[in-house]
Amino acid sequence: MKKRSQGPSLYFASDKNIFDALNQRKVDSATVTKLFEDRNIIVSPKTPREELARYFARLNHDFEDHQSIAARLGVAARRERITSMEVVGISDADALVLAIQNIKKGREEEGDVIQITREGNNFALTFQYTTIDYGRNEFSQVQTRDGIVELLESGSGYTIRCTQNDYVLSVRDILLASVEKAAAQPLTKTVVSLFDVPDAKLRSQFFDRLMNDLPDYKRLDVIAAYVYKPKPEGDKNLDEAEDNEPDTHVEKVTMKGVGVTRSEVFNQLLKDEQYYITKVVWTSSKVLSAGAIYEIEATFEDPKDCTGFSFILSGVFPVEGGKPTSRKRAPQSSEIDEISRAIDAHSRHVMSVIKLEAKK
Amino acid sequence: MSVRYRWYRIRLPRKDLDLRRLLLGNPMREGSTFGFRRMDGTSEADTFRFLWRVSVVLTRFSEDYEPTYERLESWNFVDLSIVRLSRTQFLRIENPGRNLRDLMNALESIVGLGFSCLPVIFDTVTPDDFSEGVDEARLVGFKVVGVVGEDLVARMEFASKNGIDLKAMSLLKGVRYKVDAAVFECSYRGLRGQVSIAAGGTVRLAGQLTPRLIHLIEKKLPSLTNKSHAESE
Repeated sequence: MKKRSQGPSLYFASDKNIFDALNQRKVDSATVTKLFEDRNIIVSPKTPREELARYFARLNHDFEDHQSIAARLGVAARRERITSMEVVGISDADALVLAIQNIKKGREEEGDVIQITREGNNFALTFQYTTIDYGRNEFSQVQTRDGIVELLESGSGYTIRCTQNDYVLSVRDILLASVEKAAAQPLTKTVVSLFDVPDAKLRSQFFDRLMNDLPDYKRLDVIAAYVYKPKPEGDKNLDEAEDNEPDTHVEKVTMKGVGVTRSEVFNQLLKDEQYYITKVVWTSSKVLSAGAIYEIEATFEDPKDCTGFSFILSGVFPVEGGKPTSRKRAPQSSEIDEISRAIDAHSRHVMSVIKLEAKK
Repeated sequence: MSVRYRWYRIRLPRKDLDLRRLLLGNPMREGSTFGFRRMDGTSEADTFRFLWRVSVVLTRFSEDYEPTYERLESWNFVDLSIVRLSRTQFLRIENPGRNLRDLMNALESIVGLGFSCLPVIFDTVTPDDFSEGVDEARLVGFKVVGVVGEDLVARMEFASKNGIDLKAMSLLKGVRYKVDAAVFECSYRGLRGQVSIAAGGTVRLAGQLTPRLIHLIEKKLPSLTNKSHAESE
């Protein structure tokens, strides 16, 4: 687990912090009025906000005051991408239970909330943890976030699906290290990565097949594509004077619109300029269904090495009156689960096909 | 009766790929969501019919007037021609719908990564473009957006039964303008035809001269698309 370099939380806000916070638009008039009401002070709606903030900043403030201001200024946690790993070699569910209990104990000691659910040999660990971002203003530095690690029994072992962020990934790694220690033989872990496929064309093919051949789904449109071309690396054997860096190099190009993958500009970058796809956003619908449209995003976190594959069902256009609407809503957990299962399996299949082709 | 057309310049990932063959290899089969059927063929163009599965929603009302929706499977179709002009391939779509996403998705899935299409747009069309191939071409309708002053634009529409001479129009002298649409009346050996060209790329043709007018427009396509390509470069 990564050690925190700064303090665990914010306990005190200065008069300046309060003044600045109350002057922000996110803090509505009702909140300010309530803060005064709690001190038996009635304020006029006509009194300028700055004047109220200046007065209130000079008073004593307690934890409750800080909480109500912070609630207004807090950062709404965005849903994060999902990544998965196929693990072969976990033969004993009891070893898994033991490792999970150790994780629970360790995390709770740190102050995080962890909930464990079990369904047969499938486990789900839901975390609520806090992160601190000192770059933000004082009242929104502490963010409470959720993370999930799911261990799903598959034919050959376990599929570990989790939120793609440092905290959850480190929990996953600790969990696996603990299981591995107890296991008789080392675990075989497979993640979707094209690290050993340097060919730009094949790297692009991965995303093309992921979108087009997703079983039981038909691709409707590609609405965004991010292409990448790494900066040529210099020759380490040359002197600095001899080893010239390129004067002009465009590393990443983002294209958004409709039918992006069949546009000339996209194909020119891929064909003539040797760029490759590192992220796509596309819409699909089920071949046999009422016709809801799913917006899916898939990416490699490290575009240079094509590692850290993750995806997210970013929205659903539900069916209303028999037709898909243009209003996007957040996906339900059953929809996330269904899409995740499809992409999990298909991405691994496409990766193995691409790797076979690369060896030819 | 008038017919609308749109053209797309298409590019395939490899030179050895034959789009005609690829389309013939994807006929309508049981269980498939789309298919192509050859309709007609000439030395210049092959015409196919693209059929795709669509669902139609039927609304029924119960005794309490509560709506229930029922989906019916049906088919839709559009005719397209593959036109080869000076080593460039174009698709000519007859009476295109609001969008051609299903057709383009089908072509992309058949051809694979590397298929690209560029809609042809007509932003500079003059009567001279037609005068070479017909006896007479008169500009009878003309829609422009022109800059007439600082921070002032004018949307103008001109119509004439006898034809508009752009050079004689004092109203447009010194005005920077963009053509939105133009309507020409053409005659050739006693046959008449009308062509309406929108800057967005839709061309509406009517009259007995339709085949000849299609030929004249298609002669211009390589220069039109190369120009837009060169400008973008």
